[in-house]
Amino acid sequence: MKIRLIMMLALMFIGLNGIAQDKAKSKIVKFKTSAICGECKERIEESLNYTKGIVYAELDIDTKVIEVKYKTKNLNAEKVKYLVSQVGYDAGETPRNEEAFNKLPKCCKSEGFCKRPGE
Amino acid sequence: MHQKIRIGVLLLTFFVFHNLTYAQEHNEIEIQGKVVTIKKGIEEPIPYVKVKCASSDHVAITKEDGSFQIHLHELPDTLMIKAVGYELMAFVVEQEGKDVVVNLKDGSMLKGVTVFGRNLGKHIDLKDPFNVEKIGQDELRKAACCNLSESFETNASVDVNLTDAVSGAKKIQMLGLDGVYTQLQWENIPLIRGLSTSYGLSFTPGTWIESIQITKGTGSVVNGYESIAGMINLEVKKPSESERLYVNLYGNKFTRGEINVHGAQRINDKWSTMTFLHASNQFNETDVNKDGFKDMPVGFLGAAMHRWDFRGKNMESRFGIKGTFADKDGGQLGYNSSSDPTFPKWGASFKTTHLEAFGKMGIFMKNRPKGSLGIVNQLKYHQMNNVFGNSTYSGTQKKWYSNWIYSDIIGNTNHTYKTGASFILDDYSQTYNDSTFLKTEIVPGAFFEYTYKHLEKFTLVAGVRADYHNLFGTLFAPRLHAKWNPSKKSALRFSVGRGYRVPNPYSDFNSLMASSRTWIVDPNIVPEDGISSGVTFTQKFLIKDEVSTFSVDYFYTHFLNQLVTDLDVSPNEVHIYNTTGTSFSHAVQAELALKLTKTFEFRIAAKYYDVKAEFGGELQQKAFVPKYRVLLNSGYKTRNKKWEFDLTANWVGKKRLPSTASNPIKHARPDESVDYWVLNSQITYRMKKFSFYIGAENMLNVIQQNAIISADDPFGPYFDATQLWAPISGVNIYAGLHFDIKHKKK
Repeated sequence: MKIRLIMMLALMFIGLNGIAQDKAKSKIVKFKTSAICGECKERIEESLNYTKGIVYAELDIDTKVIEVKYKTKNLNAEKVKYLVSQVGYDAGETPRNEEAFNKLPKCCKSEGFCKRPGE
Repeated sequence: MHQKIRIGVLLLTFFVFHNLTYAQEHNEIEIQGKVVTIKKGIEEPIPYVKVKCASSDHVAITKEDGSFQIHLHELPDTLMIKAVGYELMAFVVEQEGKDVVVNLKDGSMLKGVTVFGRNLGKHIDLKDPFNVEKIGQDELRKAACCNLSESFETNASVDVNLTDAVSGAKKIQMLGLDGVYTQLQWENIPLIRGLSTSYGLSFTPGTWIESIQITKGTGSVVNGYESIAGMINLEVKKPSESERLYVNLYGNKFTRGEINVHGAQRINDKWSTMTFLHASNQFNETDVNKDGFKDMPVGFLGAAMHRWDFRGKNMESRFGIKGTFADKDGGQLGYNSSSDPTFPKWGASFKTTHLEAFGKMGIFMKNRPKGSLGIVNQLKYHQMNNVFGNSTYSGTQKKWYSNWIYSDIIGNTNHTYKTGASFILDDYSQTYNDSTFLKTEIVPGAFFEYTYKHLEKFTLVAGVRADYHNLFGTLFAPRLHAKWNPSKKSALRFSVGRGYRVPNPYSDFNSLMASSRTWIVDPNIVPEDGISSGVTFTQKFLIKDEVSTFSVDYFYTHFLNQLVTDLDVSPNEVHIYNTTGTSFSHAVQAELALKLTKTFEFRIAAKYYDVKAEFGGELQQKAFVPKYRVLLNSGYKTRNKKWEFDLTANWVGKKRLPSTASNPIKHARPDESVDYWVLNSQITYRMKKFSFYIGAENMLNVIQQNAIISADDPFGPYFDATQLWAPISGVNIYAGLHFDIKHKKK
C-alpha cells in the first residue's frame, strides 16, 4: 500500500514534469527589454507564460534581459519579441506598442512615473 | 443589546478623532527614507547622495547609513535622486508615515524601484531586532487546506497536533510548550485568548491570511504580558491590496467541503472595504481506524468578516466586524445532538458563537513629525456549549480590549520609544456539569519600550510593562531584545523576558473532557509566570546568485509558577493545580533553507526539546512532547511558474505518554509512543485566473491503532479519547481551485 502510493506519486511527478517542460523542438532566445520594475517583470512573464508555444519566459530585472524558451512549431524569435512589445515594452530592436504602453500602471512608465512641478 | 451600545461608542470615538485630525492643516510633511542598492540580494546603503524634491528646492544628503529626511509640501510628490555611478532616479512618494526605500541600480542599468514586502515564501529579516519568521502567500498556499492550524504545516518553529480523538481540533506548540503559552494576534489585535483558546485556530480560514509572523520567546511589551513561548501575528488580507473577487473551493476524500469567497472594493483614494465569507462542512461520518468513533466531527462552520480601511492625510483607520458560528457533532457513529436518549450513544457536540467588533487607528502628530498615536479597540463575545458524553461545559466570555500606543523619537531616529496604556475587561461565566464559575477580570496596564539603533548594525529594545490585575495584583514584565549584524549576511539575536498567563482550565484543556477522567481542579488558580531567554544566529549565503539561509537557535524557558495538568496521578483523574516546582523547557532548532536553483528549494530542520516538569514530587518529561523532530520540505516550480510541486515530511520522535499501568491489561497502553513520519504533498497548476490543486496528506497512512482507550465502553471508567500522539485517519486526498480577479493597478 505504502510503496504503491509512493510509486504512484513519483510517477505523477515525473509525468507532469514531462508535460511541463516539453523539450522537443524548442529554442531559447535572449534579448533586452525596457522593463523597469517588478511589476513589469510580472506583466511580461505572465503574458508570455500563458501564450501557446512558450515553454517559459524569465526576466532578470537587474539586466533587463529576458530569456524565453519557445516551441519552433508555434513561434520564432521575431514573434516572441512581438509578444513582448504588445505588453508595452521594447523588445530588442522591436519597439513597444504605444497603446499597450499607455495602459501600463504609472510605476512601469518612467515618464508618467514622475510628478513634475506645477502638474 | 449591550454589545450594540459598545459598538456605537467605538464608532463614535472613531468619528470624533476623524474630525479632529481633519481640522488640522499641514504645511510640511517630513519624509524619512533610505537610499540603497541591492547587490545579489544583499542591501547596501549609499551614503552622501543628493535627494531633491521635484516641486520645491528642498535638498537632503544621505547619511552614512543611507538614510535621509526631507520636507515636502504635499503628497504625492517626486524625489529626484542622483548618485555617481548610478542612474538618475525619480521616486514618487504617495503616502506619509511609511519609510521610503530607494533602490539605485548601477549605471549600466536603468532606474528601478524595489517594492518592499515582496511575496516571499518564507524568510527571516536580518534587520529586525526580534527574530521574526515571516510566512507569505507562497508558503501558505503549499497547504491548501483549511484554516490557521494548517498554515504552520511547512514551518519548523510551530508544531501542530490533534488535541483528542473526538473534536478534530488541532493545537499548536512552540518551544515544546503548549500553545496556550503562545500569544496569537491578528494585526496586533488579540486573536485567540480566553475561551477561544481550545478551538480558536479553526475560526480563521486560511485564505483570509495574507501573512504570518512568528517570534520565538517573549514578544514586545506593547502587546501585553502574555507570550512566554512565542508570539504569532497574522496579517489578514487588506482591502487596499486584495483581489476584486477571490473564490476558493476545497473538497477531500472524507467528504469535507469548503468554500471561501472574498472581495475588496476601493471606493476612492481614502476608503476601501472588503468582505470575507467562509463555510465548511463535514458531510458524512468517517471511521478509518474502525473504533466506532467518528474521526472528525460532522457539521458546519461558518465565518464572515467585513472590514473597512481609511487612509487620510494624517490618520489611518481600520475597523470592522467578524463572526464565527460552529455546530459539530463528534463521538460514536450515529450520534448527533438530537438523537434518541433511550439508546444512549457516547457523543460530543460543539456549538460556538463568536462575534467581534474591532477598530484601529493611527494618528500622525502635527507638531511632532515622528510622533504617532495608535489606538486599538476590540469588543468580543464568545459563547460555547460543548457536550462530552455525560459531561457538559458551557462558557461565555465578553471582552473589551483597548490599547493606546504613542511612539516618537528622542532627539534623532537612533533613539525611539513606544509608550502607552492598555485596558482589558474580561467577563467570564462558565459551567461544568453542575458547577458554575463566574469571573470578571479587569486589567489596566502601562508600558514603555525604548529602542536604540547604532549604524544599522546593532539594535537594542528594552521594554517594561506593569499590569494591575483585579484578582491577582500587579504583574510586572520586563523584556530585552538585542540584535547585532556581525556581517551583512548574518545576524545574532538575544532575547530575555518575563511573561504571564491567566488560565481558564475548563476551557483551556476542554478536550480532556473526552474521557472518563474526573476533574480535580485546585480552586485557587493563580497566573502562570515564566521567564524565557534565547539566542538565535542566522547566516545567509549565496548559491549561484540565489539566497540560502542557515539558522540555529536555543531557547530556555523557566517557569516560576505553572499550571500543571497532571494525568499521571491516576488514569481516571486529571489534576489541575499551580506549582512552583521545577518546570522548564530547553529547545534547540537548526534549519537549513537552500535555494539550489531558480526553481528548486529544499529545507531541512531538526529540533530537540527537553521539556520537564516536577509533578508528583518527581521531575518528569512532559507528556506528548517528542524529544526529537525533523521537518523536510522541498518545492519545485517550473520556470514558467505554471506547475508547482511540494513535498513535506515530518518525523516525530517518541513521546512519553501518561501512565495507564493501573488499568486492566486490555485498557493499558505503553508509556511511550513510537516514532513516525507524516508525508504531505501538493501539486498546483496555475492559469491566468484559475489555479487548481490536488494534494495528499499522511501519504504513508500512519494511523494510531486503538487510539481511544475502552472505545467499546465509552460510559465506563476506563474510557479515554485524549491519549493521542499520531494521526487517527489515514491517507487523505484533496483537490480544489482558486479563482481571482485582480484590481487594475494605477
